[in-house]
Amino acid sequence: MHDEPTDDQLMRAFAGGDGAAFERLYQRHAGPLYRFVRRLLGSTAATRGDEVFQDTWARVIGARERWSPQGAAFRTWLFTIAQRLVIDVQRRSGREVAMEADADADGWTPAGDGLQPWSGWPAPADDPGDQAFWRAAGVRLLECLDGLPPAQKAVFLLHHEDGLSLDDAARALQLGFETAKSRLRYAMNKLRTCMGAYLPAVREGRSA
Amino acid sequence: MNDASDPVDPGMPPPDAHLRAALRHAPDRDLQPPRALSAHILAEARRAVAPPPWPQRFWAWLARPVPAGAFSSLLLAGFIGLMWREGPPPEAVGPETVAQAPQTASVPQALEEPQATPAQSTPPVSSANGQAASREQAARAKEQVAKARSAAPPPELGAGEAPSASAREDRTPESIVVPPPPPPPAPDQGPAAPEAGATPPAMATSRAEPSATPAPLARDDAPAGLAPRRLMGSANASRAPPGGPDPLAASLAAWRSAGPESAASRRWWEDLRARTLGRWRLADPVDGVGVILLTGPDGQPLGRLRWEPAAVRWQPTGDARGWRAALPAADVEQLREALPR
Repeated sequence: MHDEPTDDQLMRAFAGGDGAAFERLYQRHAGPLYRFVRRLLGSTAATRGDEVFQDTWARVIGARERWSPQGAAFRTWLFTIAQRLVIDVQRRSGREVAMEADADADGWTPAGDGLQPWSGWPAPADDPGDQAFWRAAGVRLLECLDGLPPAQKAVFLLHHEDGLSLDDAARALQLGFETAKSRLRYAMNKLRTCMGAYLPAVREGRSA
Repeated sequence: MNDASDPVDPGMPPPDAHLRAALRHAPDRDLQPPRALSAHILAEARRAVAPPPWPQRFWAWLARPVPAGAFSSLLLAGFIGLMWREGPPPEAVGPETVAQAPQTASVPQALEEPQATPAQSTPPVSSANGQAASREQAARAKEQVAKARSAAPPPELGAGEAPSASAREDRTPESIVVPPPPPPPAPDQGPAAPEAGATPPAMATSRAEPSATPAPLARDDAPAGLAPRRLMGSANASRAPPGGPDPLAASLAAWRSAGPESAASRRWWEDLRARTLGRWRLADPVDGVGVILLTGPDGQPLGRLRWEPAAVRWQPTGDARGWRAALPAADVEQLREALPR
């Protein structure tokens, strides 16, 4: 059985001059990182996604000799870099990035009529006939994510999409654990509400 | 992905399976970076870890302390070798070598540019005879220099130590025994033979020092190039020790090597030198009324002479300094009358 080298091993090999190790690292993380950047930037700044993505990897390449696996894992470090660069882009573009605690108490309200979380969803592992429903739910979720404050969106994406534990997500965002947990709770409630206001109509249309 | 709640904190919100499912089915779920962008990033990574080209590696190697030190030493050695290729630089020469520098420098000058005897006393010679005689004179001058070097005092005396009292007494004008002028040489023998025995010791020494100021240089323990400035600038510049400066030496050597010398001229020069030895002091340049320009047969000036009632002034050609020797008025008169016309 062939053991896959860990990210840390590959990064060390790359720092030692192994270009192939970097290619393997890139293949592992390029897709999730690209999606994370694009989703974090939102639809309004999506055109800057490539720039942020490239800058993130350029930082990795430039810091290869200084990097050490102490503390965070490579993946956490990678998303930390990306998230900081996204914040820089949003600040340069004039968009206010509220990363402070009061960002959790913003006046966001979900679009649509229903303000109560919808509980009539199909099971996540539904039959193929529900694929259209989930695709519509995915579209809707992206729209709902656009309405989230960046701080909450970052925690949610790292935790739900990229599979980081809440502890790693907090470390990647340089937050305290409780702050990260609070923001995640806010994000989930808002997304559920947002999705609940939209999905019933889709569900009805599918069944019609 | 974590489908279960995070075990770190049981109170934390569990991941929402429905939201995760919606994320997995989002239209951008298969979003990947553009191929060109990936290729660019990968190429940048390869370039970052690729070995640099050899000039960069060479400079990086050279920037290390040991190679940098070796290289700079090599450069320095090459530079010093280039400087010393034609001989040691004057600043780096020790005092003993400096004391002899004027001698060695004056010999080629005497060989290549034979200075003439005073024009008034030298009979005209044909150019062929003159050239042959010049060659013989040059050879003789060389021998004189060699003999004078062997007879010269040890270098340490002139280099740094003051001469002993007895040595100083030997050089005082009172103790100088001036022998009678040697008999004129036979006509077929050419100019006078320069054997040291025929010349007073003081003369022999001064012949070996054709420079205008050999003795002050030695007494001041100064390099040849610095001595004149010291003499001119110091308060004691005009009080050179007795028997020291001999500004006639260079002119006399040039005159001897220029061609056949007449007996009268020889006697006059030696008489002048013997009377003035030890009496020369630095003075203003010789100019004004009454200056006599002594030249050689080829018209090359040897120096400027001016009589004073109780002194004689002399300024060798090529020397910006003038010299003055105080003499009894009777001596001045005798020398003046004996000057060959």
